[in-house]
Amino acid sequence: MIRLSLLSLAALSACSGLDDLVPGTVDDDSTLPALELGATKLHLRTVGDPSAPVVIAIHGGPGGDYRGMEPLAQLADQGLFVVLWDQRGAGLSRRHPCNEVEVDDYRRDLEAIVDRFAPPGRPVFLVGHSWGAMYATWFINEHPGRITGAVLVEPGGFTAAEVNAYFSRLLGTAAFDEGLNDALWSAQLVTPDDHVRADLSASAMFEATSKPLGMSTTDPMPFWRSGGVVNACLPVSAGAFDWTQNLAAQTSDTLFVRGDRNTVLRAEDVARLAAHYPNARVVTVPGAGHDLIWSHRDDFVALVASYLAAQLEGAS
Amino acid sequence: MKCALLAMLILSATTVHADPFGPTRDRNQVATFAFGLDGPAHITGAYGHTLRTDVLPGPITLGGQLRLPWSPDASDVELGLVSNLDAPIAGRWRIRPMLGLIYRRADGSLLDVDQITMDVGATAGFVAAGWHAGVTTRWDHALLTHATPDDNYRAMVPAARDVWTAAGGGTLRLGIEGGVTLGAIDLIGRVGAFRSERLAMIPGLPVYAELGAAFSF
Repeated sequence: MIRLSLLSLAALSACSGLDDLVPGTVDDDSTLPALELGATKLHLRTVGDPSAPVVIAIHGGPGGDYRGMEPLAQLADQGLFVVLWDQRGAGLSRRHPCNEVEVDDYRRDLEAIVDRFAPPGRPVFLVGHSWGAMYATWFINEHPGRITGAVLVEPGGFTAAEVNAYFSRLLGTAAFDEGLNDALWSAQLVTPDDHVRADLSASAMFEATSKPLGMSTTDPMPFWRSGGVVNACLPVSAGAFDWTQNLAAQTSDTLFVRGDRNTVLRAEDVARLAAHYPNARVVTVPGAGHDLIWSHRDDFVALVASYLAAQLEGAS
Repeated sequence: MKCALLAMLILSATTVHADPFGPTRDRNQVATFAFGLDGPAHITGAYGHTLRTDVLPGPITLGGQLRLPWSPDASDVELGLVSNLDAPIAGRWRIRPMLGLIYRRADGSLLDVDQITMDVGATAGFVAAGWHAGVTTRWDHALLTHATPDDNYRAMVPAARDVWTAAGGGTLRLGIEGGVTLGAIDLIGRVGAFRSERLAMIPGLPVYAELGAAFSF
């Protein structure tokens, strides 16, 4: 039903009446850095020496954007090539109808980005945040041995059952929270009947979960524009997934990072997820929540740089 | 005592959002008190006055309603002028078309939104002496929307500016209704589907469920 109903978004007029509330996408603004990839066009920028080991940042959501992961651009100073991009239908990337943001589309997009920026033989690392950490794991599971290493920040789960458990904990915490009820109240006024409205609605819902996830209120993680259709459609198309079956083949070290202020993703939850990888290490950032990449950016970048240096040294 | 108050609250949770007043009784005034769930959890109250004329096919009730989120604050509110007409179809089969003009405000985490909507709906079904059952629908369509980005959002998206638009947006409800009459009180329950007016999923539950009471006097 979700898919059918959101399919209608594709046929809607581009004008929602609320367009002045959101920044334009790569289709509206030709000055944005972008990459054409098949039928899609991604908001994407790279930093550093293209011949250096590659770090691909994968943002959260689904339907978030890479703005909050920009601190990773500092890794270029460590001799790395950093790829920052907004996923299909999210951030400032091209918008698509529901049937063009399914799991196969997402799988192909990441495969194309890895192949384009990291030809076989070049070290390549994935740094994923939240949904992005799940997306990275999915790629690793599909392509054992292709990735040199991964930093996974607060993934929700790697199987449908784990993700359902995550959302049960989140809803259990937030169900009677005033912030969520206020967001639902607002959702009646800006209904997701076109991309702009769906994006605004998704942004409001993301904001509504910031409290149980322990996110900063004084230095909130920035974003450009949420992807409402992706947020609604991609999880449905994933079905009863299990992205853990081949993880045993990922023999390099995998770094998990969590914040201790997140009441939904507790230490024991992350430990369970890390156990899917044969060589995983979990680091807890004190005083941080789900937005630790932004709120504790200096510590986080230093942690990632240290991990990458160790992996590259081991590989050589 | 607490249990009694809680039971009273639950029983008085009404259906005013989907239909302001319920079936018309042989009295001239009706008051409804409510809380329910359709998107947000909300608290609602309404008052109506019933008129009987020779011009209309049945009694018409005119009144107002106030709806608030379950954790009320002054910045999230809905006020409406609402009406329903209780018209016969055949025998005990009746239809209650409703019409409303609603002002709604939301103070969100990113945007403050003021909106005027037109609400159109109908409930059709069988009304017996002590109970009733039927199907119910309601279309809530925005006539005018004013959205203002808040300071945090402006800090992230400097180009965002105030928007006035008549470009629409709205919600649809389609469900079933049943009720029993206890003296001057109609206890009414409704369940149904809740979508945007173009059938997109709205964040939150895809259904609404309401239980309420209308007091006629």
